[in-house]
Amino acid sequence: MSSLINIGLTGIIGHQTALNTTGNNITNANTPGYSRQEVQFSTQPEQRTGAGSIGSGVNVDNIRRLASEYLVQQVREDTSLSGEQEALNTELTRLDDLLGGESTGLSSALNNFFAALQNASEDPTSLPQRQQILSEAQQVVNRFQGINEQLIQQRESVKTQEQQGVKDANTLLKSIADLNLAISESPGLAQGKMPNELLDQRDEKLRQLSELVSIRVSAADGGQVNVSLNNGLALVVGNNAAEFGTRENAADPTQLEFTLQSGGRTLVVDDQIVGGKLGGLRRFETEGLRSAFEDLGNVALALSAEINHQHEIGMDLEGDLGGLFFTDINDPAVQNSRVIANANNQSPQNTQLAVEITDTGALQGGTYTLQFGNNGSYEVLDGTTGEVIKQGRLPNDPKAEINLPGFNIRYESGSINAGDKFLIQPSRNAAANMGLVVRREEDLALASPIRALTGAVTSANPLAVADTNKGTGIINQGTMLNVRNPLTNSPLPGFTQQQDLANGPLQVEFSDDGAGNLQFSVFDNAGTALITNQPFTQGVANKVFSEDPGAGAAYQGYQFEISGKPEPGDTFTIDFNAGGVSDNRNAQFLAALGTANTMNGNSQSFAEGYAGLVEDVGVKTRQSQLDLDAGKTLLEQSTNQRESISGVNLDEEAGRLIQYQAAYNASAKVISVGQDLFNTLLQSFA
Amino acid sequence: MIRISSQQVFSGGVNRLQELNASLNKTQQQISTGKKVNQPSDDPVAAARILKLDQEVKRIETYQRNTSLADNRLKQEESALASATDIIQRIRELTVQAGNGALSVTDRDSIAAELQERVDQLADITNTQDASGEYVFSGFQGRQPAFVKQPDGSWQYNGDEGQRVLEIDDGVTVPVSDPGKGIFVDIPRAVTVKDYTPANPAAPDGYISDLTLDDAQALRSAFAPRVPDDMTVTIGAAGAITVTDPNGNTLGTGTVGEPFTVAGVSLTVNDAVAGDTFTLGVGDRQSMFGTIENLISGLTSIDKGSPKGSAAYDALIAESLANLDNAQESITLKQTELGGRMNAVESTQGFLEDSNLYAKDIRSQLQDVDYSEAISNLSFQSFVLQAAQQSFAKVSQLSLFDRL
Repeated sequence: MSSLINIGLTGIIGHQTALNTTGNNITNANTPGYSRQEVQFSTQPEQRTGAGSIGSGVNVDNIRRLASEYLVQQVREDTSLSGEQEALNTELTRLDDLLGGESTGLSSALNNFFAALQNASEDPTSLPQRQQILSEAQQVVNRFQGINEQLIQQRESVKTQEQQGVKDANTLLKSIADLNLAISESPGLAQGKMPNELLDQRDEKLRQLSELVSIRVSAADGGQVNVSLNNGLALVVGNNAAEFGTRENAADPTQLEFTLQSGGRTLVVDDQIVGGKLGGLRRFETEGLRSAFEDLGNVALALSAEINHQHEIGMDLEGDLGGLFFTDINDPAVQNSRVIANANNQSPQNTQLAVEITDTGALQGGTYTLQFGNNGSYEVLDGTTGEVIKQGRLPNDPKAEINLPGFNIRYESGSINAGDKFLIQPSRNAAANMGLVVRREEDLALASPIRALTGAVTSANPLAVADTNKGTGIINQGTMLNVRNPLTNSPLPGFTQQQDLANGPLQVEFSDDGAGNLQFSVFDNAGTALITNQPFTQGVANKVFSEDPGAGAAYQGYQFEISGKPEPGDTFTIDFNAGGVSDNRNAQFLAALGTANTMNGNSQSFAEGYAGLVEDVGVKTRQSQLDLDAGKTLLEQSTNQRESISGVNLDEEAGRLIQYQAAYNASAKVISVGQDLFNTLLQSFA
Repeated sequence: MIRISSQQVFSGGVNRLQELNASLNKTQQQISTGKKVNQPSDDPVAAARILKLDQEVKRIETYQRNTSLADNRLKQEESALASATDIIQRIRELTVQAGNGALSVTDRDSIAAELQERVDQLADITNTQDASGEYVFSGFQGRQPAFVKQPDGSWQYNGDEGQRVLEIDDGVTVPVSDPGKGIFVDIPRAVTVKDYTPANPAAPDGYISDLTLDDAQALRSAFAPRVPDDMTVTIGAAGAITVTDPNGNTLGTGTVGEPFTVAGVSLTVNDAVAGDTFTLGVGDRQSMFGTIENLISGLTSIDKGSPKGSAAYDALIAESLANLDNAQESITLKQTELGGRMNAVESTQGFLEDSNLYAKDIRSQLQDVDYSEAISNLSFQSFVLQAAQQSFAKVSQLSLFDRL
């Protein structure tokens, strides 16, 4: 009888435990990372009697945690993947919205600017039309700077997120190490009684860590786990945690680099940070943001260079040469700012290099790394692929240049040491550096500084031209090529002073070569022959000057064409376009740049160059959206699989509650029967 | 049988509702903006093409504006030229009237007075200004009047040879102004006696009458391969006349007092003595104003009393008529050219309208939402969302605990 009571008692105690466990399951149904538990019953050792062995009740062996290490691992991997895609997609979408927006993008500003130029060319003296050009040009500059500013803000926000992510990761690493210690010290471990709650907590911390960066987890002695980065660099070993850090990137101060400090050593782990939010942010920096800066800068450079050149060879409303329209892309300070010395270069770190843009049409964008070896030998590496695109030796003399497509790297001063590295970024800051130089409506050069008149000059007054030409030769009004010789960059003879053609007026004189063929010579105002006895072909447009800057006096920086039938003795006068306020030639050329293919190997217009950037970011955003959808689905699937094993089903628990309650009640009945039996026995003695 | 946790029931349901909400929101955004490409990532290739088409449309609109402005400018020029033609016509009538031998000196003076009025009127027309005050016939010198009255009363061209050109389509340009030099100044001048050097300066009695160009082709061939130039008429012994070109080559001969023809030009030399030389201006140009000013000064100064004066007067009238005809022809030529330009502008206008429509059509195909499709999507998506919400509410209410 007492054994019957004892048996009932084991049942009561056992099922109480089971009911508690079920209750715990029910209350933790929504706890993240919780794995459901179940009680494992077994029989008590039996009592041997002559008649055989009699059982002595139930025993609670263990409270088991239902978890599959494999599925937990799967969830971690999918979490890293989807975390990476989510960070990348969030940032790319922001960029996508910025570049593609009608009001935030560059397209409408560019279109309006060129439309304003086209409009002004209809009425070049109209100040309101000129004002319109200025305000549209300012708008273009504002858009470039605005977009650039947004890109910088996004870059800074990415950096802040990276720093925050590193802090979170460090907290998690610390807790994982602490949990490792707590688990290894938990009583009953040796008997196989696992500290279920601690294991759940650690798994949850590991999952949170994998949201930030992709990790590997391996089991160690004493229920501990070791955590490492994908390439094996240890993050947590036993109860020791390494610490992530961020610092300014030595090669590029605008970016952060990740470090890992463990055991007193600090390693740069930039390339090992993959997956998770941090990996996603890093991917955005290299795949999205960097090329956006560069592509935008490329458009800014090409627009500034082309408009500036055309504007420089024009003439404003007051008869002055046009000068700069946008800021000079090759300002000395800007040239120097395109080179960033690596912070780890050998002292004295006084090397001064400059990057000069030579041809925006050939410029490909991108960043490059210039690294020096012994004796001034150098290599130029592509910043994205790391390929060597040029190598050679740089003589240690100022003005020595390394020529690359579209730009030159020029050595200016300082000592170069073997191993020194420099970041070369021709277009990175171009959008930020853009500015409008022309301020007054009158300073817009919509006219050309040259013109032609039929006939010979008769007096110093340039308009006193006597047209005594007998032939039907016609001269066009001329086209400007340059005001400075592109080879020497010094002003051409005609353009050494304002308001006049310094060596003008020039006279084109026709004569007979003695054999009945026409020829012409060109004389400057001192009577010096610039071109002598050039044959004239009837029936075609004859070019008067040479267009080759190396042709000496035959190159004057402009071109005129004579057609028709001049007679020997006929003269044409080429002169400064004094008072030519109604001339719209330069405005036409400026407006035509809007559709001219001047970018990327002269295959794209400015608008197409920008559309290329928009398309590029659009494609990346769309791809990342698809990747994100796939990543989320994978994560949901693996989470479902884990939930299928470890998750709490309330209906199931309710069923168990009834089941255990019934067993509990029955066990109590067993005791009550035992008591009845005992009472019956006592009464029979009474 | 797969085990489902209670969390899965809820989170799965909530996730599906989220997704449905997102796609419903996307459709709603498409409908409210009327665009199916709202971010470049919606369709990156289309987005880049839309940017290109935006540029295209903007450019076409600028060109359309240019065509209508070009048309205005050309019309203004044409109407100025038409008025100039009318005035020249009136001047021609006056000149014919002046040719009437019965006119008294007073009559001629009054004709001269009217001519002076007409010249000033003509000057006003050639100094036409556009809406922003630029002189349209001054070439690039738009701030200078095309013709300026000199102290001696003559009108002098003051502009240059610049011509403003406007782009009305990619690579298609149309000139929208013409320098006055080509229209009013460089006008071929009738053959005229430019110079007379008498052998005896005290008795400059020789004169040429009935000077006309009969055969322009013969004149050209006489000077080929060069263009016709001044001819020198030299009187030799016994009234023999030799006509030479500027290089001294003899072009023909004749006799004083008898009409003769040389290089297509017929003339009669009268009362000339040996040693007299005349220079005949051939292939010269004279401005329209020069012609009229000559006429006016001739009307008021030539004394018709002598045969020489009478011949000079007749020559003046004949030359003036020829020169006026030339002036008119020069203007008519320009008017024809303007007509051609206006036709080009008009046809470009039509072409631009078509291109604009076409570009907008393509852009709309790429960018604009198909409402019927979008609305049917919207109603289907909201139906699915409703069903999902109802089923979620139903499923989430199921719990064994409710039965306990």
